Amino acid sequence: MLHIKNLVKRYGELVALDHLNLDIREGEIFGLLGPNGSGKTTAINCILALLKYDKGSITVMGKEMHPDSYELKRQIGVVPQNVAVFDQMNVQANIDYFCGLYVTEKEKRKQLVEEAIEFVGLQDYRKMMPAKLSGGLLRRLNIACGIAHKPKLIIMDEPTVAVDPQSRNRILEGIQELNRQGSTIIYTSHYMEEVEQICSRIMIMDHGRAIATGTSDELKQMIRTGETIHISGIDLKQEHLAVIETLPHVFWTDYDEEKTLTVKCTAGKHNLIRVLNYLQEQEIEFGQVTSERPTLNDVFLEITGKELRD
Amino acid sequence: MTVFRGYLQIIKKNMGMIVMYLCIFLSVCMVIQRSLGSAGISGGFSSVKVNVGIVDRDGGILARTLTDYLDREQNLVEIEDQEETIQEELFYRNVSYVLVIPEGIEEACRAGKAAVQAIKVPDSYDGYYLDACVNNLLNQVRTYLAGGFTMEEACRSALELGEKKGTVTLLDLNGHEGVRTDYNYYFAYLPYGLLGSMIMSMSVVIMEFKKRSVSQRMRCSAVPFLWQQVSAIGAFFLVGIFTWGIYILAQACLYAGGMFQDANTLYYILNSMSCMLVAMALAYVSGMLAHTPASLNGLNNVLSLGLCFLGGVFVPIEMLGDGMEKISRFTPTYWYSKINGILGNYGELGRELKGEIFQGLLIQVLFAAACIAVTMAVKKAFERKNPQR
Repeated sequence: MLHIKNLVKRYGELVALDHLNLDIREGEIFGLLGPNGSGKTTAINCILALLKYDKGSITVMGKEMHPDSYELKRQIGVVPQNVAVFDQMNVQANIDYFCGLYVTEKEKRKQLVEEAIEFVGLQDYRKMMPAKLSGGLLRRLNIACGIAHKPKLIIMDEPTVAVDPQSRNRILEGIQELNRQGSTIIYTSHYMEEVEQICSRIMIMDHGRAIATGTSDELKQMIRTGETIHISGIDLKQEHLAVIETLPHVFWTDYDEEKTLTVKCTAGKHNLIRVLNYLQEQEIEFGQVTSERPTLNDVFLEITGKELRD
Repeated sequence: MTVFRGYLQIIKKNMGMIVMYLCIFLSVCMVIQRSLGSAGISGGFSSVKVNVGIVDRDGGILARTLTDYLDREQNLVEIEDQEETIQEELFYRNVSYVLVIPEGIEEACRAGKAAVQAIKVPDSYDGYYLDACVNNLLNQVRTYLAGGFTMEEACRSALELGEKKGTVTLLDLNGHEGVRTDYNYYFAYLPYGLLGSMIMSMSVVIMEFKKRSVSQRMRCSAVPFLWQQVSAIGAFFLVGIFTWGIYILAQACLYAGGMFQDANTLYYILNSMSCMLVAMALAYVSGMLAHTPASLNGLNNVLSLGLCFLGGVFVPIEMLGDGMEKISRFTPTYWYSKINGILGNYGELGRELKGEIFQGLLIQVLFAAACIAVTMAVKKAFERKNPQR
């Protein structure tokens, strides 16, 4: 569906995209994950031919993408990061206008607009002006304007920024539904939970480079951490910590001032049981115990040495 | 057509602004024409009388002659012979001129000395005019006396001489007996209406479409960028001509055909259309500069009122002084007003006048083009400095 080869984009001295390679298959929800300034939006703008790039090539549906590739653009839907609607038009008129940029046939457009309104759940707000809508509803309108013409490829640039959890869930469900209806989706975000929840494959970006690509599980398998154990309310001595570090699969420990022990283990069975057995043997009392599988943040942390949301 | 339709849709939402400015404009026109109507717009010329007070301390035949003369030519107001009262009456403008006739005026007149004393509003036209009238009468009396007339005969003859009235006929250069037509006054104020209507209605659309997120979404669409631009220009011209048409139609209805009955209809049309182009260009500039409806409103007031005052739309440019006229030459409204003045004053246009008209039209069109070009250049430079990422 989309191939990017050795894409380079510079802003003066700053290299925004550094030999980026990307291959998106038809029917998948592809997540572009990275902190702010990692090059996600620049990549999207290059795909949409909004930006000229310095090197590389972009192919969409087998054809090279240019600013005047209007037939290709007809099959692409865009949901930009900032809400892009007219304040002087009501909900229905906005969707109709943006749908009209792709579909000229009036009757067909009318039907598509109705379907889009229903899809994002704005039936009760169709005559309202955007200024009267809440942040969540406004985001839904932004999505409706981008998907009303039923594109094959939908590019969503952080569509859930500043949205309440309820609206966010609704938007994410909607994206999955669009995918079920046959659209290929490129989804950029810096919310790892969202990306993990809906994307079939993910690319993690940093400083304009792709640092890892794969499914959520594949990415997690790339790193050493297989399990992270937190034990709070515990009194530990240095010798106890030294012993825990020698337990099988354990490769990193931390005991902080709030009396919380953090243990990182490689993937393996019975890691938690072994730690708890040791504490029991030593008659050490403790409070709450949690065990977590690695997150995409752990992946990012291990590869780049910094938090995803830094 | 979607882009074209979108522009019109948003402008339609702001149609109230066009109507509101039309109403304000028509009201202003009517109020001004009504207030000026009795003073001359319909008649062109009328004589006026000034309130004059006389303090007669002599009571002789020459004093009576002066009193009769002023009574015939002006409005005579009774006034007490007290300095305070005289000053008070002058201060409150109950009288504009007080003539004090001293005792022994006849002897003084015979001796050729200054015979009367005038108390008047300082530096007033009325004062200078009445001084001249009184001196004229006294000189005539002196002339008759020198010719051997008695005082009584001299006074009677001088008074009779003043009875002869001249007739005032205005030069008919414009085909309307020298009188400026009502619709010419309408066109004089037209820039305010056009500027206000267009800036408020069209700038809102520019503000909407200039939003970076919206323009990006448009550029991602299947409608070619060039076609989007053509649609925008087409929509603007349609609205511009529609607004202009409303104003032209209004004057035709108000003045029974208005400028369509004038010998210079074509030039009225060209001049008002040039003004329309200027208004459209300024609407574009305002839309690009303003970020909120409040700032747009402020900008509209500054531009429409400022240009109208500076360009001599509200106040004739001759009354603003030479320095101001030099500044006014940089405004398109100055050239509009100048052309409108020519059209109001002349029916048949010679080669020289036509040259002046075309010069004014060209300056207006160039001003509009320069506004758009500069704004686009600034916008481009800004986008280069702050590229989208």
